[in-house]
Amino acid sequence: MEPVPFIGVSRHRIGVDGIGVTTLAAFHGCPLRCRYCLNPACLGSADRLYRYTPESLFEKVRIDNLYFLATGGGICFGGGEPLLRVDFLEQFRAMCGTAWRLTAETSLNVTRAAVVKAAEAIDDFVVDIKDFNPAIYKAYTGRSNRRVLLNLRWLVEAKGAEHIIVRVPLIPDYNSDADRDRTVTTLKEMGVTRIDRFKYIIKDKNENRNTTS
Amino acid sequence: MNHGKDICRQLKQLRRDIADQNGIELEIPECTYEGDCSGTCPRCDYELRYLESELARRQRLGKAAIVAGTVLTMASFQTANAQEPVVMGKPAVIERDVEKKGVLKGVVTDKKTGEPLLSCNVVVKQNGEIIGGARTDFDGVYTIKGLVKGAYDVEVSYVGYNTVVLRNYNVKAEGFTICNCELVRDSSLGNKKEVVVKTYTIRGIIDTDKSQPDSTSNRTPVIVIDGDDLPQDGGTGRYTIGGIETQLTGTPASESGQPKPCERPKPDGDDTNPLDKKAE
Repeated sequence: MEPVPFIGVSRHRIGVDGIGVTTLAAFHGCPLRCRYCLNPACLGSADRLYRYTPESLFEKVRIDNLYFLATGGGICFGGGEPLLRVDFLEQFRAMCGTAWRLTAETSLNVTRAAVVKAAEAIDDFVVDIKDFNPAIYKAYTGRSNRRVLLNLRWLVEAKGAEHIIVRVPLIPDYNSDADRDRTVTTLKEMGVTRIDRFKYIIKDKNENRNTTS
Repeated sequence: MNHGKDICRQLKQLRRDIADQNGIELEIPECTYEGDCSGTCPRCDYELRYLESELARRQRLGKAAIVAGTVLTMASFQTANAQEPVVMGKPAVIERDVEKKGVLKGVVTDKKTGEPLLSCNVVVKQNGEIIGGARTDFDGVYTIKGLVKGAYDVEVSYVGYNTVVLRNYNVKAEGFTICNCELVRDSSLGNKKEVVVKTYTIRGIIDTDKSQPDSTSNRTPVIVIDGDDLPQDGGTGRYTIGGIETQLTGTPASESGQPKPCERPKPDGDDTNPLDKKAE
């Protein structure tokens, strides 16, 4: 496999990307254009980024093998959208075996085929659902969320709700607490049990102050 | 608080626990570095490698290596099988440039069916003057950019539906303001039939002006419509096809099942199709 671009690899992320000690491997490339993208580098030029094959990434991250085994942690693939690189995920799983917990932070705004493959390779999914309201989702990401809902429904069935965390953000200027409540209600109706409510804090570059909502 | 130091302290404890569980003598000197810490350093990584090599050596000697099931003290850690609570929930901090103008966005749907409506016209006005406008896309979503903070009248119109005007709708100074709208079908069209065109093909061109067979301006396209909802008695009426109201004259399907052409409307008292009229 040709090396694929990553925007970064970050070790020892504790309690941020799932269970135990994890190493975040963030892919370049994303189908969404979120207004407040946390990692805008994933949309920029890929010319000067790190490039890894499954083998070379495995060599880089294996130093923390003991931490992973001792805490039930492993690798969290983020980005960007890791499910755009599902072949990479499959090969990485083949290399690291089943001892490491592999997590993917995904929007699920990908093809069903990618989700099906990822469900085999990945243990846990952290799904950033944004908001179930199609207008809010489209306004914030620039894309429709039609296949997100279908993919999530499939994933809950296929993997089991215990392997899926759904993140529901409060997005300033886009949704409200009432919108979030509606999204959470729908998630529960779909059988999702692990729901992470949080909020985006907008930091204004020019005015050097924080705005919270 | 130095978050890296906190991580370092937890990982150090983890290494010490693994060493103790496996009877490995591991020297962990007190760290005196006071600068920014990423959570690890060459010394920490050395200890980790040493531990792993010692565990591998023990396994080669047939001894058990215990590394799983260690419970860390950090509140955000979980054991491998724990499912609740979710340990995330940290706010995401995002930087952005200051925006001076807002964007009005929303989805327009049919109030009865909930289906998004394509190509609705949405305009925003202030004091009767049109400030901006847009049409809805396939998802019924429209976007009107470049609006300064203020109250606008939002007018949403679509063929066959009652126009909706939302008075004094407040648009924020920056970011997006969501304005969704539901349209109701125009009840005055209730006695007019509507057909659902499932498939159609352009069957051919009828040239009604035989004297000028090459004149394309005098040709009437004939559309063959397949559909169970077409009039079976060959009657005429007004219909909505693809959102466009029109009048059709129809003839029933032939016995072979092949539908016959529907022709363009003819004005009362005039047998000539207006589209076929030649300029005087």
